Amino acid sequence: MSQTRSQKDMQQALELVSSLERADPEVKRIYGGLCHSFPVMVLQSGLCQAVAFSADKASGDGKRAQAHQHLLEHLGEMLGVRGKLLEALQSAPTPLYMHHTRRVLEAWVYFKRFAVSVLEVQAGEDHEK
Amino acid sequence: MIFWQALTPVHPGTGQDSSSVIDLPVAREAATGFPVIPASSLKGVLRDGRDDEQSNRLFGSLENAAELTLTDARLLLLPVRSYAGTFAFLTCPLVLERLKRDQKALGLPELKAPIPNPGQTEALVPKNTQIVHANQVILEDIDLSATVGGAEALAQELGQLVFGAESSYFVGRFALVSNEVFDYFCEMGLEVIARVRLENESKTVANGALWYEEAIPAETVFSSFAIGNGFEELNRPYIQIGGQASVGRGLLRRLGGE
Repeated sequence: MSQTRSQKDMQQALELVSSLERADPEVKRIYGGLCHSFPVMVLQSGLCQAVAFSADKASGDGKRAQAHQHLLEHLGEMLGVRGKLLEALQSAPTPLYMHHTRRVLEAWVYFKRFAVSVLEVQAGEDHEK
Repeated sequence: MIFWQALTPVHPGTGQDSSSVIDLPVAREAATGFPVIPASSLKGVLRDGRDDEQSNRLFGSLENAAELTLTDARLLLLPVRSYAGTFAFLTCPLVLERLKRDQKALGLPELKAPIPNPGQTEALVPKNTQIVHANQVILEDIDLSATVGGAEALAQELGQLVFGAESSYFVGRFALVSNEVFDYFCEMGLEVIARVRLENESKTVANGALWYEEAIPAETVFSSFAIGNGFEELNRPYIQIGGQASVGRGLLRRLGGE
């Protein structure tokens, strides 16, 4: 019997978040903070702007950049987008863009939960500027 | 039928919700996901905490059923930020069909204007519109192609029905969009407010004390109905509803209605 969408989202989020369980503690802390703040950024600014912000932060070699790189990879995996996520979102027709936005918000509930239970990062621990 | 307009953001809360990325979301209808003000919230405010014989008769008590029946206040017009015209009043065919159904059930005159079905990337607006820029209605980060004049009759009729003398304030901002686009903005177009609790000593955010709250934006219009006649409690021009009254949330004004 096939699984519900929620079951699949939960399984995928658990695998992706758990992949950072043994990462550098600072990368883990920043990534965990992003799991809490990213969906709010999507709601306040839209998916494209939120992803563009993250893509900007992901350029470079620091630990914050690494955390944002993981976030972008995980978003791409979750949405089934191959290649550059920002370009894919920018070129998506409106109905697909709306679908991607809603899928991110739906699935991200589990990223938030696992940031707390797997990575042990609470909301507000990473103060993104 | 009563129309209510939010003068400030409204938070008809549900408590903590594990199914949302927002810690304290607003109440929503189960089937549509549209934000809603539950009838029990309206009833509580209209009753105003009274426990006398008359209010027991009108609003009910442990011993007696209420004489007055109130329904949930449903979303009729959702304000969404617009590149032109500051903001747009959105509605969709599903919302208007339900309004017609309610009018019929109450024995009120039904909407006469036809309710067209906009395409998924289209917005139908009246002739005198303020929200079109370069043949588009640009809402938040979604661009829709504008069909000017496609919602003329609807805008005029709804404007008179809901806003009466203030109709032009509404007509210039009105847009009929597809059910899918409306649904999207019901999810994405609400206010999200970050709240924190500070440590007394350091005045920094306490560990784990950051949370996000959702609110239905100011300008939103709801429709509800009350069954029963001659209840002066229903004639209040303003009410405060939902949580966070102390930070100005939940001020509604009564509009039009029959």
